[in-house]
Amino acid sequence: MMSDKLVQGNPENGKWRIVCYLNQFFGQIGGEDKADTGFLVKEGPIGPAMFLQSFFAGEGEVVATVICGDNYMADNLGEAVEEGFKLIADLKPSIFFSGPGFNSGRYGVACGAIAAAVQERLGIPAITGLYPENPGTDMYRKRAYVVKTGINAGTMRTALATMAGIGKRLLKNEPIGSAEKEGYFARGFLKNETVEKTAAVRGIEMLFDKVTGKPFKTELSIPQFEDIPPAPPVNDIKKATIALVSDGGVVPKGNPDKIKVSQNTVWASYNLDELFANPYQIAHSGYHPTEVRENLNRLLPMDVLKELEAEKEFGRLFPVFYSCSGNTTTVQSCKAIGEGIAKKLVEENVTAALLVST
Amino acid sequence: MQIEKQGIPTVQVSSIVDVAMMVGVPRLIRGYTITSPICDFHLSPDEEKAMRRRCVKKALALLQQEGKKGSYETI
Amino acid sequence: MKLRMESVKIVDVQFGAKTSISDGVLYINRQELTETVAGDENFASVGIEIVKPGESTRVINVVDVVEPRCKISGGVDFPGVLGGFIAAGRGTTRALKGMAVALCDRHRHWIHSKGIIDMAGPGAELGRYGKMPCVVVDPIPAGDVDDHAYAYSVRRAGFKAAVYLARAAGEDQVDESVVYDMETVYPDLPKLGYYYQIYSPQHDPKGIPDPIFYGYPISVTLPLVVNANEIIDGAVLSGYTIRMMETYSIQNHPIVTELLSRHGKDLNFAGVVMGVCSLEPVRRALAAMMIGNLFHDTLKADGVIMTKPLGGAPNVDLGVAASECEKLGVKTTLLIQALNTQASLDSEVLFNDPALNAIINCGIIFETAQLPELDKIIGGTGETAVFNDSCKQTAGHPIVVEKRFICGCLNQLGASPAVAVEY
Repeated sequence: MMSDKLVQGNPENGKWRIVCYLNQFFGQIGGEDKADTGFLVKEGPIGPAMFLQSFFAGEGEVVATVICGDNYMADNLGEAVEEGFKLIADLKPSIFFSGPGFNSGRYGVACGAIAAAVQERLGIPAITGLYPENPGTDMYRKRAYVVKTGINAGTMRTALATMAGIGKRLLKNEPIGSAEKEGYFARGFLKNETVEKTAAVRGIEMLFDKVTGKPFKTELSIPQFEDIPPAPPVNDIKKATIALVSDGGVVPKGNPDKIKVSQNTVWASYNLDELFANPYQIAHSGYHPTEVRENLNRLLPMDVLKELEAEKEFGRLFPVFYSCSGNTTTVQSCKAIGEGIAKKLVEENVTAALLVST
Repeated sequence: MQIEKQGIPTVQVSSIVDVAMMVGVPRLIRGYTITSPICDFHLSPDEEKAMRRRCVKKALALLQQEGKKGSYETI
Repeated sequence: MKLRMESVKIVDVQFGAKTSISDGVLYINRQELTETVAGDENFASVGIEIVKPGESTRVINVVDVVEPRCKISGGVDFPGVLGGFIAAGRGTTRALKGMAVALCDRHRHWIHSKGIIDMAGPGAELGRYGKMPCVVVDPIPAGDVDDHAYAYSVRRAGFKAAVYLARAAGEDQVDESVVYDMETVYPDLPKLGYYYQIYSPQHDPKGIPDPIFYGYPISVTLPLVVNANEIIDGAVLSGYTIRMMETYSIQNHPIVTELLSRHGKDLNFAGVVMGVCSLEPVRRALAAMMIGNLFHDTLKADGVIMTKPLGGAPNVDLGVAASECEKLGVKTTLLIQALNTQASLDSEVLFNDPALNAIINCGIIFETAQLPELDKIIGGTGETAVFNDSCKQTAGHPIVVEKRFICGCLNQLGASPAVAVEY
């Protein structure tokens, strides 16, 4: 993720060094028949880069245009991005633009991938432009500025003007407004702003419109989740190793792994016997832990798990417990915590997991 | 769900089944309450433990069944 | 119910020989006000201060903000807390507008639920109360008093001060008078109701709920119908901690007052159902069913606007109740707060019923603000801790606080114009 403030190298002649990336078509090499063309570096601006140059009159110059065929990029994206990145880095850019790629699938992904690499690794602004439905949009909008474009090159001028406008202000450390206002795709941040009417007044207007059959537009929308197929069930429960996982924020006294009471981003593992034998605390500010403080079994049913293990109702209770705190945690953090715990469970050959949520 | 994705079956006890179902948890038990998911803390210690045992046994049973999204079991 | 609400505009507040109002200036006899609110066994003493916009002053440990109000006829002051059980919402009430009483709670408990009022700088810009003169009531606990007993005394002290100050206004000083008439119905206009989820017991310190309905704790109450006038006339009060629903914002409830002011003009205010968040799933389903039925069959509403307290659990609860309303054909709009800054506008809602397609964005509650050092601290000292989960900080220095702690910056009832915007 890029920080909001970028450190720029000061250009010697007072002009920003601009590097552009284009595919074989916009780079004027040829059409689909030239899509296998590898990387070329041409001095100065080519095609759309010439338009871009005009927006930077006097302040910046396109020092080179890097061109690559769509197939060459698509066939082995990782290696091709690496090759392109090295060429771009050698040009010592102050700012990088790719595309715009409009709704071209291969080109769009290439524009996003290379912009993300440049921004993350060179720490300079990298901006591309894509159509909302281009697969590159969702893939890269959080890793570089992706400006919203029309479906094809008919919107080239407008797209480049927006890209250049954002780029200039990033170079000067000037603020960039909201995604909607500026015309880029949201990068995964929210900020508070003030509007004219209070939420109450807007809410009553919206309800009035909904009831009277007038059009209205929701301000927040319901979430969409990845559809993950269930794992196969446990075959032989008598041999199963079962691990205990909870988002209730149980940690040993002192909270050694610094699990946050809200908006947590980390997970930790603790030996269950030690956890129960020693003082513990609840790193979770979303519920009052009176009941759990009185008896930890109400959250982590150790007593009955041990009994059922002894009675051979299942194979083995995994001695380590996985803990996190699920209170106003972002979906992004939940996913990362889940991935981390899942990876560990695989490594530890755990058969199944019992999850307890507050 | 990330654990399921890795092929490890899970069973979740949650008092907010609406969220768990929204996310698509495939083996779900409706917990007693947010502050005490496994059992009713108003019960006597013995009854409370019996309820915990019932909850965990149900979890073990569910783990041996095919996952089914959009529904839950009660303790 | 019919309620006459009289407003007296206050432009400045000063200490003076006699508590009185002259040309919009409220003069306060400090000694008399102190004696009015002191005399409680849980207080060692009570500090009274006046703070004004522009002063380099930070008020800390704020647990509530109250608008000065007194009952002129047809009821008692703060029924259930200061007076007996005579329903709020009838008769005549007089309010001092443009000022507030801020209440400080110096006890150690629940430090991460106390607010700040900055009278200058960015904090004053963000909050509602840094823009108006405030009378700060700052009771010092008597030794090692019980948390809840002290908190209850603090609350009473605040309401006593509010009543005392409002009593300074005479009838000839009333600038404006409005009648809220919930008796007349307008059957031909769209019938809109309000679901007011006033509480969630998930945080109850020591499992003891706050007394917020006529001074009574109602954390296990099933949904009930209340009159809109009761809400704005003192029946519903803030809890013991700052949770973006301070009493001032309930007295001036932005949804209730807007619906009341449009009642008979372009809509018919069908009424209010009040409820609390369910922690148990069985109770949640029962309450949701009742909420749907009450709006559909008792209040006969075409639509209902819904608000919630706190964060995640009430968000789920509200969604379940809204789905029940929609199933019966009662349209819904929900006011929801975004929680995190690393998020998007489709990640902050904890339900996914496609019928819930009218959601109002009430801003992000965990966004932080940097506040500079101010000269004077009231409600504690410069060394008093100010909550920040990531670092230790004290009131007498530059601080970083979540916006939910800046009193009147964000509001669960919809009083704030803040929205979360994608970047």
